[in-house]
Amino acid sequence: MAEGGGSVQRLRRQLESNSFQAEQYVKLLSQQSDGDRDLQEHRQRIQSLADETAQSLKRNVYQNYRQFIETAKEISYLEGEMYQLSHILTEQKSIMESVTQALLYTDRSEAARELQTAFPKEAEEGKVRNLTTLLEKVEGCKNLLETPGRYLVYNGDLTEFDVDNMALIQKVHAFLMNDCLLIATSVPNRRGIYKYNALHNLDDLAVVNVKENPPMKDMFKILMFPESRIFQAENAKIKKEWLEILEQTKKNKALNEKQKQEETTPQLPVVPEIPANPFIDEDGTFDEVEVDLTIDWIQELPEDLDVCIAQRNFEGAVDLLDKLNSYLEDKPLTHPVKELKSKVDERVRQLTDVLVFELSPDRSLRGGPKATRRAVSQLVRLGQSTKACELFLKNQAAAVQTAIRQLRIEGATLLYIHKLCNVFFTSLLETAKEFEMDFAENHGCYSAFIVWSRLALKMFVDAFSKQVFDSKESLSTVAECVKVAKEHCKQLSEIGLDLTFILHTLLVKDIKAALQSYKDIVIEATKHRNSEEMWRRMNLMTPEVLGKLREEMRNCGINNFDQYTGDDCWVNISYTIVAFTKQTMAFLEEALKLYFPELHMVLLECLMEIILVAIQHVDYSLRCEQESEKKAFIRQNASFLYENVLVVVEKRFEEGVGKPAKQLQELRNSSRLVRVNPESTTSVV
Amino acid sequence: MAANKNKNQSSLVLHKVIMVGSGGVGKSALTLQFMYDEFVEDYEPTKADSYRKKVVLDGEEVQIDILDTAGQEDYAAIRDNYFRSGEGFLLVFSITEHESFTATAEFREQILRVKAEEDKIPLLIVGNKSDLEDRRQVPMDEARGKAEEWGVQYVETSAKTRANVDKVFFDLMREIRTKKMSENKDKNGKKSGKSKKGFKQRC
Repeated sequence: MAEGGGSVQRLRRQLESNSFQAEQYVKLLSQQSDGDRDLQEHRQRIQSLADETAQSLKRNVYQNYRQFIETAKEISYLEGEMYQLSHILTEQKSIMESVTQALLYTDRSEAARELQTAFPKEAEEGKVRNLTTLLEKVEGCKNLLETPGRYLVYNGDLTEFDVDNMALIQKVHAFLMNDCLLIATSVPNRRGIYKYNALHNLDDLAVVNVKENPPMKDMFKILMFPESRIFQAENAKIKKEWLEILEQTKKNKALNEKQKQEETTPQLPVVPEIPANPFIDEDGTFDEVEVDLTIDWIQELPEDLDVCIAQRNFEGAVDLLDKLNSYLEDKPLTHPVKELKSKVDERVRQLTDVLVFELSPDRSLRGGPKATRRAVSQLVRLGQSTKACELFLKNQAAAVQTAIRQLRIEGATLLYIHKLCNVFFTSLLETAKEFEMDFAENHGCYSAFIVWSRLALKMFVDAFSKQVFDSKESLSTVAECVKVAKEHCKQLSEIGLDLTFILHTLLVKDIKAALQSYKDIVIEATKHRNSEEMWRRMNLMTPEVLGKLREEMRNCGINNFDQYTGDDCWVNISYTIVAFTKQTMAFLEEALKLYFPELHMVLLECLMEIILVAIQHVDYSLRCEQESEKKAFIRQNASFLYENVLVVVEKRFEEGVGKPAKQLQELRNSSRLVRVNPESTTSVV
Repeated sequence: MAANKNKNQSSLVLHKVIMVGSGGVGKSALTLQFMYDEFVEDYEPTKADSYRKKVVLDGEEVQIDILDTAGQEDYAAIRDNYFRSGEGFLLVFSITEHESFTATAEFREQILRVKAEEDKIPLLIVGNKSDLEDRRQVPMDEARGKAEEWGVQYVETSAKTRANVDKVFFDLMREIRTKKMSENKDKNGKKSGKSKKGFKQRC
């Protein structure tokens, strides 16, 4: 068995060997074998070996079965992950592609051109940045970016043709910088990516318009010794633009260089002045260059201004501008200075816009006039005092209007008027004070303030009239309201602003109307009473009532009323005359409260009309009355009217107005004739 | 020649002519008359226009490329660039304006300076506006004398009547052709077959 086992091992090794060849083996076997038996034995051995191998194989499979399964699982997981990965990758690829497309489109010549025509100035800033992005798309020209101050002027797709035989050569994209022209060829299969082709200095090239001559169309030629190139634009318009822009850019460049040359020499002596600047004193890192605009702070000025504006540091921005202006004050106006100025002017415009927006009435109006001081003072410093003044006043007008509108209209007119006057005149006063502070240096603006005050006052009077006159308030209320307004108005004179005259002018119409309408009421009431005239003594029933009447009469200024009173509760004057006296005196008192010179004639006429009604009534009654007793009574009434009431009216009028009312005296005297000579009157009747 | 004819205009010989002279002497008028047989009365200053036309020069079809330049002084600085590209020059003045004749000397100087490396530059002096005889300021003898001094041809033209218009262009083209041929001979002597044009012309 041992031998058998050894032969089996040997057989296995034999079969396992790499150089095992079945044919050789069988040949060898058949040569060695001496009979059937031997072969039989051999076959058995192989058979058992085969069995053994199958067994061990089976065992091995079972042994690794779990590992098989796990591996298979792992593989399927991996497969899934790989799939996901590839999916994500394709997705990202498509995103990248669309981004490139989008970028390309925004940068396309058309967009740039539109931008340029629409906002030539704004576009300029963007173009510097654009240059970077655009040139990144051009392979092999990174060094172009190293030249400072270079920016993109224009760019677009062109088609190049052979100068000699007009054969189409290639599609190119031309980038016109301020000092050179870059021609880039498009890379096939990669949209928006270009390859550097040639860079031409603008000085060395000449532009020639190729006249239309089929098949040549929309073409122009660039001459650069010794060669020349012909390009075709998309259409005639674009060609024209190319020609114009190329020429302009060439001119600008030549101009720039000429000026730079002129500058470098005379500017040298200016340099020592620079250290006078506090900024430069502080940081010694500043290196002096012959062209003095290269100072750090001037170089960064436009950007710094942007920052200041963005941070709403208006004072800082204006400080910077002041600094620049004082620095440039005694410098010649060279081309770079002009350029800088135009850049700065753009910022100034922005700053002004922001400040203007700050002051626009749509903004918050709270905080009173002081809230605007910041913006206003900066605008004034920018030399925009007129604008500042205009905006400030507009803002204040809106504020005043809002304040007036916010006042709640409560029942009592007088109360409202008190509030209204308070609000209006206080804000007017504040505005005036603020104006004086902000525009102290700009005397020219003062007239604007006066004009504004007038307008504001008009606004006030509108609100005032609406409440006082339109609602048909009683004359006493009107008088009270006007008095309040006048008093407030007078307070303004303490700051040297006297608007009384304007207030009067604005109110006179309404007051006149009020006086006249009240006069009408008085006359109507008097006539009504007169129509029921009985010419009887008044019985007041109780002495207390008489006492009260006496008091009233004394208040009216009639001091000798006692002469006309009888015992206990009798008054020896007709009810109509008493009532007339009371009413007229009340009218006069209120009217005098309202009085200002413009109202003189109106008041006088009103009084005369009223008095005339009473006088005519008495005279007429006197003439008509036949009964002597009654006549005597009427006469007594007439004398009361003439000698007391009219005299008192005249006196009060003179007191209130400051000059005697001749017309009233004449009225009294002319009527007295009738009374003095009663007989003639009777005879006439 | 037969091979050339099969190809389109692209393989034709190209002669580059430049119109030079003061503003308003009629450079564009001459060009337009030559190109389109029309006389344009309106004056509009040229910046730089290029024209191209197929013509038959002594039985050979060639192309002429005319660069019409600006006469105005503002363009003086950039003239160099234009002049460099030219093979022949028509130096135009107006016989009715003496200043324009005086100016031809300066233009010639500039051309010679720009093309300094070339020995003989094909150039014609052209006295334009010959139809305006009654307003002549530049005597024919004076102009002719100057041309002789410079060793060039003097021709009087009228863009209006088309007198001598074809002549100046064709004479200039002949001069250009002659010059090119002699140059090619030299070149071919040194480096044979380098120039395609040379090869064609040898056929």
